[in-house]
Amino acid sequence: MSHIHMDIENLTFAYGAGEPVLNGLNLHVAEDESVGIIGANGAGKSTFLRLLVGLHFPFSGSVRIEEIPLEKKTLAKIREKIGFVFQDSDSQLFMTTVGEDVAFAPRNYGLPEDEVKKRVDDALEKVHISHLRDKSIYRLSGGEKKLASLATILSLTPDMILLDEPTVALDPRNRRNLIKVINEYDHVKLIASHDLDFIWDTCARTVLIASGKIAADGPTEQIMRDEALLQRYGLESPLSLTKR
Amino acid sequence: MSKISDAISEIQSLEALSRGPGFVNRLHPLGKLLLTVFFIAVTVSFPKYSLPGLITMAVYPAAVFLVADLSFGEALRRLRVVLPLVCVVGILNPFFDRTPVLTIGTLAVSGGVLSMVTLMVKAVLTVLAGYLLIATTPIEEICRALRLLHLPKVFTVVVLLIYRYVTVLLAEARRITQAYSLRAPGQKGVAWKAWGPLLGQMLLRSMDRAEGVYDAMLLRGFTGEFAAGREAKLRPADILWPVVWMLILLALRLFPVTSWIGNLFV
Amino acid sequence: MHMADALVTPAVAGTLYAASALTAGWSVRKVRLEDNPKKVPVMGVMGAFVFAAQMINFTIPGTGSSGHLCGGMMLSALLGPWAGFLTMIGVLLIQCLFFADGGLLALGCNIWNMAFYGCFVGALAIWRPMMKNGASRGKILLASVLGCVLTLQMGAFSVTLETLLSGVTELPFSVFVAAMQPIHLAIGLVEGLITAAVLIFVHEARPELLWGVDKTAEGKMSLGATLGVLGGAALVIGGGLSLLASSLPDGLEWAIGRVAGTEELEAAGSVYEAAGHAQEATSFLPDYAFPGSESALGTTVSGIVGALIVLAVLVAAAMLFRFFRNRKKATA
Repeated sequence: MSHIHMDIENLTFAYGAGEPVLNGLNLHVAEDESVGIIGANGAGKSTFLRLLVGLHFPFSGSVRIEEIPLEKKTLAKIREKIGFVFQDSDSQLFMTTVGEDVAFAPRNYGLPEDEVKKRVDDALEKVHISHLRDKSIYRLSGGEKKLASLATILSLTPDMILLDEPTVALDPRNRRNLIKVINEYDHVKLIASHDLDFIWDTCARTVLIASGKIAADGPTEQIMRDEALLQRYGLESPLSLTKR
Repeated sequence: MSKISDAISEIQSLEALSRGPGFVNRLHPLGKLLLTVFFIAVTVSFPKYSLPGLITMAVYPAAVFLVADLSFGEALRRLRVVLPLVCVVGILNPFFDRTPVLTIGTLAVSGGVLSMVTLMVKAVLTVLAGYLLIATTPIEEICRALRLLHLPKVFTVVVLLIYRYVTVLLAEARRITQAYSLRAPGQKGVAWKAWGPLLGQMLLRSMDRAEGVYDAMLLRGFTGEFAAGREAKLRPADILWPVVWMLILLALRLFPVTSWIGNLFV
Repeated sequence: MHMADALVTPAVAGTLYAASALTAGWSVRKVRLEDNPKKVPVMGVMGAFVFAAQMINFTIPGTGSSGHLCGGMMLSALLGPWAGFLTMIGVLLIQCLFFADGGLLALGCNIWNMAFYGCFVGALAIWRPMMKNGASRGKILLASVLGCVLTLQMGAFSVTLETLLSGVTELPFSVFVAAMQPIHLAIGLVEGLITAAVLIFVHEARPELLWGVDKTAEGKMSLGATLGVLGGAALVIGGGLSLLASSLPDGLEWAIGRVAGTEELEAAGSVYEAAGHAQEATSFLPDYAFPGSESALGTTVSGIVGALIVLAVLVAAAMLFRFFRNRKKATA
């Protein structure tokens, strides 16, 4: 059994004085695990992922990533370890060209320019878009934007990547391509999505979030085949299972 | 509203041109920027009757159009923006300034006519020069040149962000106005009752987007300062190109070259 | 109302560049003092918003024409005058580069005419005093309309001055002003109404986004502040107009004639002389710095012939160049 990579205990969070969005959530993720996060609209999936990279303070409970507690003063270190791919690529890619955007993070972390160049090369290589380096962001297709977003966070060589609804607005071919790229990347992955087929293709483990808690946790196959469970939480079985 | 579509395609075509592989594209942006401003300054410094001297200035845009292989028609299309104001200002000159300043055979040309034509030629030349800069230089290169002139980073970063999101928001403005006109057939613009909600919604969405952009920056180590990018090596052409051109333009401004050439034939 | 490069001389352009640069430097310092890293992305996206929003046509009731949003006033009401000013410069730079709206040399003038008045006069003299005790629909409407009208009047007047000082037009000062100001009064009114509509919407949906509004206050019309602003605006407009009507025109025409070198006036006021000297000293490539060039270059037949020959040679060279390159491409 590999050591615990991420350790979340009794996590509770609310926006301002409102109802808690996350309400006593517990989750342990081991090294090299890919975890799909599913749940109906408003279940707290996005909030959960955004909280892990320190976009929501304050929360109660504890979040530890590779033994480092998530606090304001550890943010820089944690954000170097976790890459976050936003649902909206246009917000994520704010520089003018792909190459400049991918170089943004390594430069901010003060790496020397030849190392930055190497990181950019590697990151683009990993998602197979080296040919897009000098292309202007707004000339990219939706699929290319998603891959470029992935490259911008891979340039910090994170140990873990979080993806928020990665397949929204992707056509089948781009979606297949993204599955391939994600499966090639062998670190910890947390993927929040309504696209259960995508989770099926990329994650061995799935957790179901409902009312800010983990409602089910297990091998993806077991969860996805449990139609009663999915239906209870307003979800539907993946197409690839119902077709047969 | 085809105006928005025009703007988007204008940016797209300039963007594609500026990232081309040509000789002028590869020149250092600072030299190109300074040369452009110099050219415009020399051009507009010609007195209002100095049409012949002014025409020699065409040497520069003509040469760059050829070297960079750009479309002259595309550049002239951009005149439509500045010409109205220039016309308003110049068109009455012939009525106010009737002193004949030049006689060609039996035809007397008044000062007003000459100064009006001079003004138009200036408008054409300056617009062409601006086009030649932006069609051969990507915006982040121009910002790099501005940084070398010690403009604060916060300014160049804001320029780059505006540029990045102009196309995103233009596309959004197009969607909004299309959706509006589908439900309001026969209206040319947006009726006053919808002014606030239509623009206001778009503004609030833009604010939300700015929050998203800010989050994305934070996650990648943004602390309020932008780290500087690479510094390309200077090549001899980077210096020679602007310097030689500036000397040529200065010579054309200082010496009555057209009269010399004309005297050979008259 | 973007100034074109062709309408300014280097001296006028340089002076306004300097004034705009000083204001920009001050603004950068003020924005840095705020020390709010979030401001940068907000400035960028809002600049893009203003750019896109100005492309949308808004129908003016009762007429067939349309108006647009006033950028400076709106940006300052959201970002404050300093960040608003810097953002407007960015918008103007991109408009100038990509759409030939204005020009690189005239950019300093355009920043002054549109961004400076819109941001600083609009926000500091009108918006802030009126919103000091909280905002309301009526106050936003009044501030927006007043701000847009006033700043557009100032901008239009500056366009007139800059053009006349550059000596490119023979239009008499009075004619030019009489043409520019009323048109911009109408434009300012419409832009003010559109800007007000947006700001009122923001005030009702997300009031915390508005700059300079006291959130704790009730939002009642503070009579004192409103009267003060109205009085100030009336004074500026009225005073400006009466000045124009009386003494200024002759003086200006004199100064302009002096700069353009078209009129010979005997009565030499010392102020104008000083101004003329100052311009002479500060101008880069001034109109009359090339002695003898006017007669040698400008008005001889040989000059015209020479220019025609230059043009012909240029066209021929271009055609040859294209011809040979195309052949090279075809054979390659």
